[in-house]
Amino acid sequence: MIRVKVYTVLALEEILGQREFEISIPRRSTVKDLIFWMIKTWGDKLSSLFYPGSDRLLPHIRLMVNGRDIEFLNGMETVLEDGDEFMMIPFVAGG
Amino acid sequence: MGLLFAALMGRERREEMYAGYTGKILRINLTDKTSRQEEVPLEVGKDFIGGAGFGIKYLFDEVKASTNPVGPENKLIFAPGPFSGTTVPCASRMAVTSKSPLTNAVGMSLAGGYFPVELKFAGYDILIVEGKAERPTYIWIKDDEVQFRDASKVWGTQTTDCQQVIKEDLNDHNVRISCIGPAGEHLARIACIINERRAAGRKGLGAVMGSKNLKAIAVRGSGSVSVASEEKFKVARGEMLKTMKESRGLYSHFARIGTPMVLDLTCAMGIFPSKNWTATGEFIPVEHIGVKAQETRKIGKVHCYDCPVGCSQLKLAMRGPYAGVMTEGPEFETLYSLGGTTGVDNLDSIIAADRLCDELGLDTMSGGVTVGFAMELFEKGILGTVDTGGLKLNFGNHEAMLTLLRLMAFREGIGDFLSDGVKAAAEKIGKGTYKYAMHVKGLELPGYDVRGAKAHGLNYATSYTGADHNRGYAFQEIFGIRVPYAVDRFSLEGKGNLTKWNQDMRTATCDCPTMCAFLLDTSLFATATQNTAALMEAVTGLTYTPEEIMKVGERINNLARAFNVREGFTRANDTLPERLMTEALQSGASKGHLISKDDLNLMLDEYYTVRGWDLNTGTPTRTKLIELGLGYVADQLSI
Repeated sequence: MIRVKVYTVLALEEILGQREFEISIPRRSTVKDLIFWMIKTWGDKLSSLFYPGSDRLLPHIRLMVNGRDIEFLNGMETVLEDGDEFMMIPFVAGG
Repeated sequence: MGLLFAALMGRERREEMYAGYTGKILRINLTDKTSRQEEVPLEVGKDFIGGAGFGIKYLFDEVKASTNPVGPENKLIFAPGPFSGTTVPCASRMAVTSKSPLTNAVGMSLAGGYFPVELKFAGYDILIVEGKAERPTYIWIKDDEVQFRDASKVWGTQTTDCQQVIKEDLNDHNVRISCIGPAGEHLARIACIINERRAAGRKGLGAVMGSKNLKAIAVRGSGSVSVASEEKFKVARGEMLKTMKESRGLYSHFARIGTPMVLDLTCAMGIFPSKNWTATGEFIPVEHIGVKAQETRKIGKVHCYDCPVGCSQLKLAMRGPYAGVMTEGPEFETLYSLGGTTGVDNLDSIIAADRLCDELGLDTMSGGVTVGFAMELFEKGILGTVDTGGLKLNFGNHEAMLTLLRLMAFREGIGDFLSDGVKAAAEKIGKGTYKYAMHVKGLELPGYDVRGAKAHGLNYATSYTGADHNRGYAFQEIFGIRVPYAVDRFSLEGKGNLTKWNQDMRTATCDCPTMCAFLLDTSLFATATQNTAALMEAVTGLTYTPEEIMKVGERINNLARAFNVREGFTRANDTLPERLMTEALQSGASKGHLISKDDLNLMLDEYYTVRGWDLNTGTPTRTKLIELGLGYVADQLSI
């Protein structure tokens, strides 16, 4: 098993009830595996993040591993390592 | 399409072309107490749109090289946009442009509220203030009538009181007023101009106003702003409102929380600058001053004229010596400058300091960063209590922060030399303190540690106003918006091209039509050029392709650059504080990153190349200026 820190902010922080927490997941887990784990854990509470009736995230939901957007890693197939920091960011704007 | 064309087409056609515009400049000379109206040439409307475009055009044409920014030869130009005063949402804004006393470069700052539309209703696209009044004066503009009125009884007042007294003096509580506070009167080069509680905050424009002995401008207009085609206007406005409504969070989140939401994000991304940029990623005050904490102080919200969003929040300090102080804000940038960079995480003190700055007419951003700079010097022992008049300027000392802000506004004690910002202060102190002065071209840095957002950093380095997030905000890096394409915030590749795009887009779709820039990253990012083109056609009758809209942005960025070149700015000035180029971030989600000198040079080379500027000097080439219809600028610069 590996340990991964999960961070979020604002609306997602409200849903998850916490800004950051650590989870243990099997080695070689990917970002997609982590998202499925989150769906399993929080269920319908996370429905606002996905296209209706789908497990596809809405385009404005931003995912980062160690601060880098996953599309510049290996997307949803990005393999997580022990000690990685995973960030899930909802709508934020106004700068 | 020029004056000849207009003359051939006759007056009727000319009026049609001017819909949306009033077609008039009001030129006021304080030295000889005269005013006159002039026409806005047709081609100026087409080529520069309005707002910042008008301001920079007239600044370049009328303010000669090496003009003293706080001398009577400098000019102060107020320009709303063509949509101001119509029912285009979120367009009640104006650009205030002058030669900046803080940077000696173009000083352009935008403000919302109600003053901008009132200026349009009074009949003016542009107000140019020249000269210097013999004694404290305020200007009263009521449609065609202009009065120069004695301001001796409001000289020395804070900005709220000033506006109140002038309203009483004019016996009209519906006048709209732009004014300065004590900071502007004392020529603090980080002074701002306040209208209602909105600020043309940056670049020391309040000092320009103060140098002219001009306390305030009061405006009341009885006119209205016409549109060229009611039918097209209905469609274009409807499209814009629809796009805003479809936003994932404009109304549901941004309207409720406002800009403070960016604090929570930047803290998570490890780019919220802390303790004068020494502790980014380490000092994370989200618990104390982030959105949740802010909600406990919120008592209402404020809308600018014809804005359906109302992002501005009213907050009330509730504890300690600050209890009972209300402010409009603090916005994200103020939370950074009076919170992050000073190491202050006492929200009530930040609320009080925000209000204090507004009342004193002091830019919260430059003010806070300057306090943070002084705090680092104090912590390092470069400044002691002998220098500070007994103030213990340790990071986090909120009481000292408020005291120092007041000293800066009145130029008292240590506040005297700090009131000109960090660059001037470091030059006076010496001892290598330039290393701790967080500025570009003299303008204090905004609230994003660009070591973790490289295009944002390149924008700080190249913006024509100095370190200014608003001139080319890299929303791709900060918010992950994939327009025009997705970018890796840590990479260098392609950032020159992206920065040009961000600067030209922002200039053309926000700064010139004076559209609220928050709409860009909350909703209009994918449609901004089309939206601007459609509204320009509907409101003014002038037609543009989206590419031509971008060209307007490019033209203005080149003209502003030319102004700065004429003032002696070169590639060497397009740089970042040494700390950002030599010290990598030590903690947080951007740990290990910096923008080295080599990194910056790589990005600058690409930026100058896509801009068509000389790689060695950073000067626009003659070819580029001619392509943009700025041949006369090339002639003036002898290039």
